[in-house]
Amino acid sequence: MPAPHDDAVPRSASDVLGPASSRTRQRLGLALIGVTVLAVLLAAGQAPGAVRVPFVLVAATLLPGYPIVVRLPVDLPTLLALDICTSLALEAALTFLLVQADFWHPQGLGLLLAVAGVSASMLAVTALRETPP
Amino acid sequence: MSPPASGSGGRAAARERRVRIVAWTVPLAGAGLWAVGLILTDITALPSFGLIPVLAWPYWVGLALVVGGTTVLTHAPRLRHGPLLAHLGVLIAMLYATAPALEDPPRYTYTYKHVAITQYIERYGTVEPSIDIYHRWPGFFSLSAWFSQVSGLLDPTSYAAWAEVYFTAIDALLVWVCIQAVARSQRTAWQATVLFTLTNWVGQNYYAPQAFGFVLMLGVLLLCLVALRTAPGPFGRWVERSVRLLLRVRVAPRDHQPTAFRGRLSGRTIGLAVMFDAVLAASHQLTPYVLLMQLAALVMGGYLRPWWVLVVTSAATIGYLVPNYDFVVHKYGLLTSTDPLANARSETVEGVPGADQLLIQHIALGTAVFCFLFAFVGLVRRARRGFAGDAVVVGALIFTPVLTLVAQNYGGEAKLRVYLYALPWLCVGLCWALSPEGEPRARLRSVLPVGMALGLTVAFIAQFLGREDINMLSRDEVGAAAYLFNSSNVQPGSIVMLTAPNFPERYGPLYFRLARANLPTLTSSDFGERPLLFPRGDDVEEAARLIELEEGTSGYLVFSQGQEAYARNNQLYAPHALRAFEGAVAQSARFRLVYDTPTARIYELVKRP
Repeated sequence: MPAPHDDAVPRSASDVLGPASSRTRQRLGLALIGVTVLAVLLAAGQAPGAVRVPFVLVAATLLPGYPIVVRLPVDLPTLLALDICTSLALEAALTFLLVQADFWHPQGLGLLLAVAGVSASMLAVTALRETPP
Repeated sequence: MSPPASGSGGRAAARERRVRIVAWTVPLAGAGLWAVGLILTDITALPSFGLIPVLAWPYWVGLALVVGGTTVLTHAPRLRHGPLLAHLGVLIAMLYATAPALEDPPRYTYTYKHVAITQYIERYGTVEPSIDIYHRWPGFFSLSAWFSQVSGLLDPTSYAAWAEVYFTAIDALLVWVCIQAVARSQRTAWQATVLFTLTNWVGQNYYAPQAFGFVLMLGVLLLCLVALRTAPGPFGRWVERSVRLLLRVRVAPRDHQPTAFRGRLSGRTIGLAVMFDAVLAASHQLTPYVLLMQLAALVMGGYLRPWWVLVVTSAATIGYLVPNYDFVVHKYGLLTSTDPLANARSETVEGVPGADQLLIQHIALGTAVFCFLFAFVGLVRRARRGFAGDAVVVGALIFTPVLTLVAQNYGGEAKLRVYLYALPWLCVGLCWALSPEGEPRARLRSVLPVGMALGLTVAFIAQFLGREDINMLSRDEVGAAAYLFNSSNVQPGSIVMLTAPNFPERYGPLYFRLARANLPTLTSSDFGERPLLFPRGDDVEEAARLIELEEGTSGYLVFSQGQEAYARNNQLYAPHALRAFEGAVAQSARFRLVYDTPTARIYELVKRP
């Protein structure tokens, strides 16, 4: 027999984070832009790998996905998780294409991703100021 | 200036201040003890049980402190996200960064074959599918080769050891958000993430396509749970009704609250999910199929819409297999066996594990059985609180990976992969077993979760660091591999004979130019099925003959610390037999020593005049 409805039990058991604020998203975007610019400068200056790696790692892990996911109405941890997955998937897809096409230009792809990522992120940050998600 | 606080208010404020100080002090103290423990630890000669006997006491004190502190915090009445994040960060470091911090080259011999493929792409900018299966699924390797080039770390061995920490941190974030989405509770998300960190001992977060594939898999499931989850369809409702009847649930259904984000991001979500899946299909052979099974289960229950997401992801996955189908079938076979028990029993280990290895295996098996059973209890408890839908969804995510065992043993690793794929959801079940609605368990009631966390930590350490005598590689051993794969030392087409498994047998971009000859002879059959207790001159001659049988341009016999540890732990030879055999090889005129270091030696076969 189906259980009777027990209205004494609260219907909502939800305890989740709310969507990240526009300000948080903007700050994240600006931080990523800063890190990426530094990474490009360090790469251009032929800085040692140990110095360059933290900046390149953060930029590679987060920048390309940021403009794609930044307007999703999700909380900050979910936004970061989707940003990471999107960035890594995008980079893997592009490098896979380079390898399959026998057109291996990793530095060129890196520069392209940095320029496109920074430009798109700046546009996204500006748009967030005008029309929050 | 604020007015002085009244008596009870002042006490509460003072208590809150003390709690805050303790909450931040524990991870700091844990990190400090970890650092001191690492400094005091000497790993020059690892005995059985790997790092466990040699790790200095501050490490253990710090670990117990952090595990206990983290668990208490996740069950405390008030969630403190900052201190929890600090605790989790230190915990990840203590568990996953200890081996890379202590050891020089990356652990696990199989890391080097992955490094080798990355190096091939770095050198040639392309892949050659005729070489091996990795060249046919190069998603992870092309990404890694690109990262090596742009980061300036051209040799992936310089960062590969830290991949385990990197992927674990990303997994932890993904598990947290997935669990928040499925359980709609931040507390359960924290608890499950901590448990996931403590139970992920399968060692699949190292520098390998599996680690990358797992991230993308969780990404797809996150999108499905956050944005595409819906109320169940007819089949899902029938399952839920059956569950409620079976468990005699007496409260009204309380789940299926529509996701706040659903509808507003479906289009973009589906696009992202398809992209993740397509990249996953090109990066790993097994994970996309397990993901498809999980998605199919959700679609069947009506928990995931639109249903054609499954069609598109299936098309991406199977479409990628089609051009590689013949290779896979001829080389490995699409199905190894349809007997799930045979697939589950299949082993990768050669030899007969000794008592210490058996103990570790039993601990691993016990942990897995405990997780599945206790998670099942959690699902029942969650359903009995009126959340049958949640129990069904999480149950589907836990048990669909088990179907892998119906088709594949995956080189003896299928059971480990099943555990890995089910683990995030098993951890939700574990949390629900203790707190079905994510309710706090303050003071004495937190003893049980703390005890469970400490028990799981012991099991993790046994499995993850207790085999470090095998997993660890010395710089000399890696140097020996580099020597062999340097064409100025060893001619292409040469035969490399190992005295036991556990040596980086594929190294560098030209890893495919040498062939491996196994030495089954020393284990039993070709030596007349006698243990190699007292090596004789004809044993050495037999080894030489077997190398010559392979008709390589030249032949090499390799002895190393890792092989010796493997042979000892899995009783490939009688005690000290391998060393005795090496002594005989060293004195023989058939071999000459060409690479000599304390932990690795290479003998070249002298050609007959």
